[in-house]
Amino acid sequence: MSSPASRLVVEGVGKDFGYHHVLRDVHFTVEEGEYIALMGSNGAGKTTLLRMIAGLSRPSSGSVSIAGVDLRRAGPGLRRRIGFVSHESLLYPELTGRENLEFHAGLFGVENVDAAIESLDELLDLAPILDRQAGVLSRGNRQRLTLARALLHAPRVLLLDEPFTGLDEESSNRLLRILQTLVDSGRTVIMTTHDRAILEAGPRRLVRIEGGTLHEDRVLVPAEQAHEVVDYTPAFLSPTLTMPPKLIGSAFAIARKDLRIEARTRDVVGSAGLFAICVLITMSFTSPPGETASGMATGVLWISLLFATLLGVGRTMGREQADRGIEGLLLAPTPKSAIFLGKAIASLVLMAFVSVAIVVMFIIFMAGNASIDFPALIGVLAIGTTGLVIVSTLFSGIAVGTRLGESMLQLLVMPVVIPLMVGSVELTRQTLGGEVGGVGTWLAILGGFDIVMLLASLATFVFVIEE
Amino acid sequence: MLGIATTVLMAVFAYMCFFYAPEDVAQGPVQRVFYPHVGSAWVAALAFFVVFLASIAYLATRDLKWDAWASASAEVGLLFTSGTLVLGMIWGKSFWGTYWAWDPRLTSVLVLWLLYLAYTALRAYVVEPTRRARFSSVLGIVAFLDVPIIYFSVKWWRTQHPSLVIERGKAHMPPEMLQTLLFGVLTFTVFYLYLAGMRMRMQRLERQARLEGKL
Repeated sequence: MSSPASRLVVEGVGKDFGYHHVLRDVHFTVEEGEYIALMGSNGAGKTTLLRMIAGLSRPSSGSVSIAGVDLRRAGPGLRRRIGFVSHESLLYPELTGRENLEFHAGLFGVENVDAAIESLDELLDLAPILDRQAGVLSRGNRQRLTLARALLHAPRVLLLDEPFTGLDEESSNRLLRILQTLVDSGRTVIMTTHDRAILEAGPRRLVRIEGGTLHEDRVLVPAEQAHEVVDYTPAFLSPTLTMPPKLIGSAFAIARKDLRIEARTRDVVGSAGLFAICVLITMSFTSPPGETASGMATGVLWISLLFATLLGVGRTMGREQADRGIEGLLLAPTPKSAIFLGKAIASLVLMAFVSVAIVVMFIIFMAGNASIDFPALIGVLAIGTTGLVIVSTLFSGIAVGTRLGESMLQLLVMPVVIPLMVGSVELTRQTLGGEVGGVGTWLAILGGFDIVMLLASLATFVFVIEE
Repeated sequence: MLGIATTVLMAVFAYMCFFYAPEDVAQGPVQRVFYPHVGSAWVAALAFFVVFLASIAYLATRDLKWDAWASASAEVGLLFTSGTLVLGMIWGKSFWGTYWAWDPRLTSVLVLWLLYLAYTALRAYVVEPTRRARFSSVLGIVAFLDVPIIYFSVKWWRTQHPSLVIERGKAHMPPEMLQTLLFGVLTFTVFYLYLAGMRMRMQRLERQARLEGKL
């Protein structure tokens, strides 16, 4: 019955958060098809352990492996074997149920998404909620959608963190039936729970964690009394899977998702654009009109763009962290740097709209009758804004993890982008009729800055978002 | 040992600054501030390079000792960068007639100072040590990439600084001045190692106290 294909081995796993040891030297093995209840008192380390098995958290010591491969080095095929239902839904509240499922299906390489959603609809009765925004759903409905998200790619191992919390009796019974179906089909289920009644309703093995260490590991239902694994795979566990999208494909999927959310909320463009225009108009009183050649006016333009970028990019990343949507992205078997690239692409598109508005205002209020080289101006704006977005996207991931939150973003970004700002202001001044000189050098500086920061961000963003 | 070495070296350096190196005919006695200024600037850059290397080492090994190195180096580097700016301003007031001129090299050191400040501020606002180490390491690596721009800024932009006095091994100053300059670089390097080492020791003691529940 057991097969190494999805055998999970937790070997000597420990987790520290600085000086606080949450888990110490935890060992156990989970064979395919096991149904495990992971219990323990509050703060025992159950959720931390589950998150490490899901690949959302990195062990401080020891390792978690699946099919003999350390999860930290597992490829997309292995990572896709795991599904996770956490406390948070990992859904985007602004997207409908269907849109959420389609998005996650794309990241997991699920083909024929409509058929996959239909089979899950039969299982979970999703029809009433598929076309409603996830943010307005009740706890129970959100739980159903969350479960659908986790099952879309037919994982071999399903992890659930306190899945019965807040569910009514009917929903709880439905969930128990689904979990039993999974186990009967040879899938592995590991769930955390406080409810001892759940032990009677399905799990065959109990693993207890207390004080960060393994206290108990015993069989609840002997193998001969357990359900037989049926030679039948339900439709919802048989989606057509292709290779998950690679870096560029994933990045564009994430960017499209962000742009769709923005189209619905107009959060970023509205607030960032309005803020930048206010800054521009206010600061225009500090610069004589038409004095574009002096650099003062172009400085005002770029300050406005900088503030708009900080506000806009900070908002998109803050939204991702607030809804824990980022964890849904981390669960997907796509390159982590795709998250950075996708968010940067979306921010760049949004900032392009904001830039147009700012530049129009600038020309009206500050440019006077300066002769403008529009193609050159657009080029400078593109190259400069790209650098601002790249750096802001990277540091927004850091900022939201600090006590200051999005306010930290200004502190981090501004010193780093000073060379970019200087070059952008200088080149913009020249496009507005200022004295021309050293254009090639400036372009080399700006282009070099963008490339270096892009490569550095792609390489380091994974460390920003990991736990 | 390093403390004793620093004291001795500083004493010798002071002698060289005030008595050994001849007075600059054009700039007068205030030119002597140039020697500690260059020493401080060298350490400011060196410290940031150490932050860069230690940041990479932390992300590669997840050993908090590398984060301790990075943070100690950043704190000392901030101190020396502040010193570079202050000494530069003193010299600038005498030579340019103004405390500040927005020439590329001074501006670049100011940017470095801001980067150090950002690094220090980031560490102050993240409570959990491993997260703090990760975030700081990323900032330390990315911010270091600004440092080459500082170095090349003299070549790229027009500047109000005098031309570089040491170019490709050929000095434009008397040997005594060059020796004082280079000795200053050595002295300040040892001073940096002493201060960074002290700071590391303090961090180690603090970590030990926390692990033992004394803090």
